[in-house]
Amino acid sequence: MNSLLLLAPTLSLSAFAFALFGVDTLKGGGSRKAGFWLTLVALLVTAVLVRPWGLSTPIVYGRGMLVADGLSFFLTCIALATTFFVVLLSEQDNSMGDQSLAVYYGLLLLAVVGLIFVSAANDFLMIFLSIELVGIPGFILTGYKRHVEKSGEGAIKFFLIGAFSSAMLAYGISILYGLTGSTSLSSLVTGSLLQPDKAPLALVAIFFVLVSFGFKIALVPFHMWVPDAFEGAPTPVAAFLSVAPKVAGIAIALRVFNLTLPSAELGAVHVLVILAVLTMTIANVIGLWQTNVVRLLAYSSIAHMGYMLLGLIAGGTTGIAGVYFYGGAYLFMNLGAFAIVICVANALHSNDLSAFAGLGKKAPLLSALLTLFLLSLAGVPPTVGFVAKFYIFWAALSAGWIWLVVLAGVNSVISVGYYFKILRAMYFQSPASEAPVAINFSMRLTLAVTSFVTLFAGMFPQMGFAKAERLALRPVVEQVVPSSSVAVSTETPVQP
Amino acid sequence: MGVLSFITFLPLIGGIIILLTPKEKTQMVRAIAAASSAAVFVASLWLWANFNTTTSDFQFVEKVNWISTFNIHYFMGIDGLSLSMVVLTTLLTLLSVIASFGIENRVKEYFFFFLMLETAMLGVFVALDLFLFYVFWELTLVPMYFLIGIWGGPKKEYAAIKFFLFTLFGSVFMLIALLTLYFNTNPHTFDYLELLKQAPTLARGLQMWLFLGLYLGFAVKIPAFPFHTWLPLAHVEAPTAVSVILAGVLLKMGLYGIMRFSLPLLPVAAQRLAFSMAVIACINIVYGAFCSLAQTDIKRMIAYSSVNHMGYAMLGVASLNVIGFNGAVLQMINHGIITGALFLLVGVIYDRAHTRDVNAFGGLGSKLPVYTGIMTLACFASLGLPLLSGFVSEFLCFLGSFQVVAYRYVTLIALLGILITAAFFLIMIKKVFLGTFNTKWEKLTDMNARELIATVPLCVLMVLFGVLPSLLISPLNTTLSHLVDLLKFPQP
Repeated sequence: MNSLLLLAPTLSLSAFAFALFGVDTLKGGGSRKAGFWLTLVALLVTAVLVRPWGLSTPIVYGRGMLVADGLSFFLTCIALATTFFVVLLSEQDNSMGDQSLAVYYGLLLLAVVGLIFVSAANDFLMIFLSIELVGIPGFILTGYKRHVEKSGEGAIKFFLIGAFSSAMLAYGISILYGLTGSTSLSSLVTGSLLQPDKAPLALVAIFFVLVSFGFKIALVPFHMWVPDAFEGAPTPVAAFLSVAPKVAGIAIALRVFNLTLPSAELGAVHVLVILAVLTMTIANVIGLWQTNVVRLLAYSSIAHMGYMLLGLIAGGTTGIAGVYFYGGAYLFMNLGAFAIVICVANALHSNDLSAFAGLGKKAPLLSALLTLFLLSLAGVPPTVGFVAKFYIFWAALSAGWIWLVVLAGVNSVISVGYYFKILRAMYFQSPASEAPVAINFSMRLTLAVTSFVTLFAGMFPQMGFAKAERLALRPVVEQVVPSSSVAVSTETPVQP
Repeated sequence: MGVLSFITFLPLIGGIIILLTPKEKTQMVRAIAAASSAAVFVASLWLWANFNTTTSDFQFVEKVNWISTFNIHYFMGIDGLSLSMVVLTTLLTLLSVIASFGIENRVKEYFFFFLMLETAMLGVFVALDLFLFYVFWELTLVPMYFLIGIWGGPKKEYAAIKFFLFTLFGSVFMLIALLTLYFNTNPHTFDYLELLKQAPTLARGLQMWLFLGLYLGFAVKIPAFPFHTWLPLAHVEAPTAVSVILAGVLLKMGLYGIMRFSLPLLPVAAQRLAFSMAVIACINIVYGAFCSLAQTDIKRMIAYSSVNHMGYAMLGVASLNVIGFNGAVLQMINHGIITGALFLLVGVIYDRAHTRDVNAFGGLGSKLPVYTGIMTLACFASLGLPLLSGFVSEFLCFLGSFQVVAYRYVTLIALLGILITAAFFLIMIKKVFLGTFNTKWEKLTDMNARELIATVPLCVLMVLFGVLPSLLISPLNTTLSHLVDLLKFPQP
């Protein structure tokens, strides 16, 4: 297997990204449409290049820095699908005025390159680099509404927190390097970390990695940047941020923690449990007080990460499959909800709850779809949100975490409290303004796909379950053992 | 596709057709709603006609693989218990749809939600896979939320969300209990018949926890004290027809769940916890009755009387014998019929007078003779006058529970409830229909044809089942004796 082939998606995305940076200089002001189409082409080309390589046997490539397996394939698909929808939404969003969006799309594509790398990273240095590659376009995109103060504020907060958490990560990595003499993830499985004399230091290292991962996927108490960044950012970017950094975080978590989950003995599971409890409970409770819909969805995204942690805690094939399924489900229902928020904001120039008043009368179809997405986010059948929660709960229960599941269940009841605030505004209140809510073709496409998946996969989840299980079948722990025949590089010595 | 799927999803298909109808054609929307609910009612009567009453096995069974990862099936079937609930649901929905023709605001959405609700309710009663059951159970919440929240009274928003949160909170525990049950079977399954073989052998401690988890889910719906506080609010705020469905069908889902799942699957825990259930039932009866006595809003009074009446049924269930079970199911059906009629009748007077305060009326008997007659009949049926249906079922419930020696005192206290029930209904009749006529209501008109069509069938049934309770008991008895037999599982 040629590693160029494996790198093709990232290479093509990067090439398109730089082409997009050039579009502005070539055509001047009128390049919004050109940028949009070029980005779609980029995504389509990349989607064609992505192949489910390494599902049965992981392929280590790029001098041992990268690995192709079920996890990387799944997260690459998630990243591409998210970006596809985000691009469609960006085309519709008019909060960015008539700024040229070619650079914006270029940055988005670079972030995706980072995401693809982080999902395939097999080395701490690679993780660090690719996280930065996700983060830096992220900061810029958050501040893309140059003339809006809140946008700048969000970007600065995001940047500072991002830099801070990267420093934590670098520090943790340096300790691990000191302990094992290598930054490769493969060296972690050799068990040297478990030697009693090294355990405390390893614990410190894991702690730093964990904290940085907490910032990336916005676990409580590392979540403070999320609502501000979401509120300030252009809404499509908020939609991107509600999925993308989480992909990165989940990738690190699955690779590092399931890999080093000898750390069961180092107590990392207990830390994850505490984080899950705090994340679910606090995010949901704070969510109850929000009156800005984007902030509300920000807290909802934090809470959903809490539920997903349950799958991580459960571990094993079912736990990981649960995370995969939940991740996929979350993508569709969340982006669907964001799409409608953008529609409403376009018409009424407000993300406040009051903008949704009487939407049920003005735009019945749009409200019905938002109802579907919110019910799904709240986990009410027959939607995909319900089966995803069911799967995660099932995985956690089979690992014996009954109290955690009870808590998660109670939390999903609490979350109904704020999701239904939007329903209440839409259906029980009368419209504040008569401005019509228009939807164009790209929005229709987004809504059609997301709502179809939300409903259909909710009623017939078997296909999704089977896919998630197939991808998760090889526990990540075993994946670092490459079959030597396909390994491009044997530079990193790998213990059997 | 089998007949049960057909019955279950026919209303939803009607609802989708309604959504596709132009908004202006309200008459057409109403006609479609009436036609589809009538078709479902006829189909359920066909079920009854073709139902074999001599066996306790499930009939009209449909079983299709659904989610093979979890060994979940699309599994439906009915026995006598489900059949009676299905027919009750289809009858009350049809009458409620007719009674809702007066709705003028957002007609299309109203009937869509109403028919979706019917699908969900029917699904609850025919599902034999616990996952499927749970899906339908939750599905009832969504249309109900909108029906109360959009078309309700002044405090509708609060009532709607309170209803939703209470039930969802209970259901979460139910879901976790179902999952735990699933993990403790081998091979893991949600299949009711399979669980019936395996679950009763589980250890006592586990059974107790499972029972409590399921009970939390069901108790909110019954509603059993102290989870009843959503009910008066939801009833008072809901539009008339929705109150009818809420009292007539949704409350039955709780006791149905206990009789269908909690008791037979967890017989050891059931025997241990039956006394506690009887005590809760007794509190429901007495407390509900006293609360009714204190109300001046007629609708609120009837809402609390539901707490009281479901207490009788729960007492019958807690007695764990055939007579008690028969009484409980009869009480569920009769309560659906009687309280359904009462809510419709309160709706009639509210539509005209725009008040439900007992003290605002007086002497209506001379002005509205038909209305007074029907209302009095329904009240008498509700307070348990012999020869009307309420009497038979209450009598059987008490008879069943009195047979259990340990329940004697509880039963005696509960009997007080009957007195108080009689008191509040009679006081209400006196204040509203007797005495001097309040001239303020000079312009009131008597019931119109649509209202009569909706209520008279219920009144006929009250008399019919009062005189000939065997009509109901015969299809039920085989099933219920079988359920009681399941409870006699030897203690491990």
